[in-house]
Amino acid sequence: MTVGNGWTGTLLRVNLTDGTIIREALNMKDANDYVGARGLGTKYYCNEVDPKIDPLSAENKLIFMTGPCTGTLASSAGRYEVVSKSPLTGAIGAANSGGHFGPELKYAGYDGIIFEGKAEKPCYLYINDDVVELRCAKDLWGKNVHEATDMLNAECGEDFRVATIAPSGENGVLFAGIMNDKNRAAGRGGMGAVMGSKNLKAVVVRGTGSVKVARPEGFLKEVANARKMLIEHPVCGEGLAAFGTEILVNIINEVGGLPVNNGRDGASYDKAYDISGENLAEKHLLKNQGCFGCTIACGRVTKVKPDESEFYGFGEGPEYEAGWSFGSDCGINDIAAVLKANWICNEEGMDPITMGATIACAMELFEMGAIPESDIGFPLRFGDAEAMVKCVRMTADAQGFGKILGQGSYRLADKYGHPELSMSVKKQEMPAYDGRAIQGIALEYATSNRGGCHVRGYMISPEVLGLPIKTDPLVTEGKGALLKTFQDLTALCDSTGICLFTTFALGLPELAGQYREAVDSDESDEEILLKGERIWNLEKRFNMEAGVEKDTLPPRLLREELPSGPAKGKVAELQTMLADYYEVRGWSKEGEPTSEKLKELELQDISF
Amino acid sequence: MQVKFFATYISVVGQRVIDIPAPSSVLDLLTYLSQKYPEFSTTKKLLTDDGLDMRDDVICMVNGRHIIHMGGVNCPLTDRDVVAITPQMAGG
Repeated sequence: MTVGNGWTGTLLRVNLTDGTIIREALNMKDANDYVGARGLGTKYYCNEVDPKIDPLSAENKLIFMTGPCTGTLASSAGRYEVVSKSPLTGAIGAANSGGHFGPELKYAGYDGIIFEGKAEKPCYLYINDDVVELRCAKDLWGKNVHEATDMLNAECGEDFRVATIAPSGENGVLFAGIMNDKNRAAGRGGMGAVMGSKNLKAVVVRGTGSVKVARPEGFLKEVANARKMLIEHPVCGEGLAAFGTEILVNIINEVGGLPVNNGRDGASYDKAYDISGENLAEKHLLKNQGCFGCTIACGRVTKVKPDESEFYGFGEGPEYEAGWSFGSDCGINDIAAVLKANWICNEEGMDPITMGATIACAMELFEMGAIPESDIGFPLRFGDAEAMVKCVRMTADAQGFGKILGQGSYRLADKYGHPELSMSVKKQEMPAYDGRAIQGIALEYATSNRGGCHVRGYMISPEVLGLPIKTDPLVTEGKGALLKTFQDLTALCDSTGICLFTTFALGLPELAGQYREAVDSDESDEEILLKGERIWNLEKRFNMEAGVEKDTLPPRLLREELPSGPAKGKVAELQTMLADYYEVRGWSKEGEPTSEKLKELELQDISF
Repeated sequence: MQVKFFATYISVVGQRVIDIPAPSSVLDLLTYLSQKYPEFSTTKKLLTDDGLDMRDDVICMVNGRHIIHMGGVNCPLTDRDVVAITPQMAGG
């Protein structure tokens, strides 16, 4: 693999402590072995940072990394990854984002940026092709995402792309994200808090160059095939554009998998339609919106008029996850309130999954009497839309009880004596699918390398949606092998710079085909997929060295039977699936990669 | 029997839910719907061309269970059942 084959060949290394900026050659062997973006960023991070580091210390590093397909004509290839140790989980934190920032960084001539140290005063990184400099961010500090983006565009130019944090990141909200193009998020795991701890407010970039692929003729042939498949696919060509990801609300509810009231009251919500993509499209959708080079365009531009609701406003989203977290998980069917909470999260750079799930946890704690009203300042019951939106605002503003909410549900529930009521895995909140009704997603939550997460191995595809095959969500057999394939393929996809949503229509042959032509590879599909497995095992090794807790689920999912719906009486049968999963992964019964597996993946010499 | 429609199927039927006497099987239900609502036999087909099976890009659930786990289109129906029909979808 050589420079020019999907890569610019140059990384920026920015030391915020002494202000030095160095251009260094991309490690092409690692780029080959770890693909790019998530994989390559993680490899750099593991090479350079002690897994036991305090994530919010100056010694930690923060890496922005693109993939070899980012910014090319490949299908929906606008993605980049932010990698660091997560302050929320203590595990490897890798957050993927779309929009236009990643491609712009490559057009400026850089595959990635490694931030080291901590600036003495707030600053931002300015990149205009060859001009790269740290600038004062004194006037930007304290501004939210939209305000800061507008100010930076006014100062630097309207054609600059901006990735920035909000005061949530400055104040150490443990689920603060990094927002680019205003509403696209490297959202989960608190990468914004790491950025804020370094006094780094933003990165602005303008590039006038291009990205070259290795075999243009073959590449364009692969791209044309992939795009045709995407456009003709019922999900990627029609459904996601028309309804966005919120389309899932009704069908997930139908299978009894939409958690209600922090999961306390099961996973069948009788008011699901009110927060669904269909209702959103009918009442509040202005238009859909796509990221760089995307044929899908799943983004929502939404509005609530002043005469419609007290929660009026304008913004983007919500995705399905936020529709659930601020909706049924808080017992709320007021879609205007859901929109408002989501817009605040975008503007204030906070992960809406963790935000909503943390409020839901607080609601349960309040209703059982574990949190006194005096601590919150007002009653906080399920179904109270006004209180829910107020909690989001208080968290963004670091006011009162909002400071506690800003630490996520695990620390909140632990503080009030009931850590078991945090619906989290490895201290990160599980998303919008109940693992009791959908066994495969329970296994994914338990084993995800970044804590409770659906997009490390999206088992909803086979378990509910029949993509690419239909499996029975109520049985455990075979889920280990299926999940391993999904996790490895996702690690590969995330690392190429191509959007994961393309995999609803595309499979390994199309993903590997585009990658192969971009980077000049003659590897087989299976050899390329093995890189995904290598990335997964590297992440796992980091987590082991960091001391991350074992794979498990909240007691509610393991012991409390679902009270109603198609999965009535079910719990997550985790131990059965875990044993199967570890065996398929070639790991020990304790869930650790064996020396044979590490050797097979050429990870035996990785030392931390 | 209650039949729910999601996503683009709502506009085909003109409402989200209909109540009808239960046909004997899912195949009979899909055949009935294909005859009653023209789009279900043209631009948004529910059945395969031979009319004997449900298309792969359609999801049909009976009481929250995908029919593939309940005998496919031969799954029997009663008036107490709730059926949900939707085009293939995804998100996350």
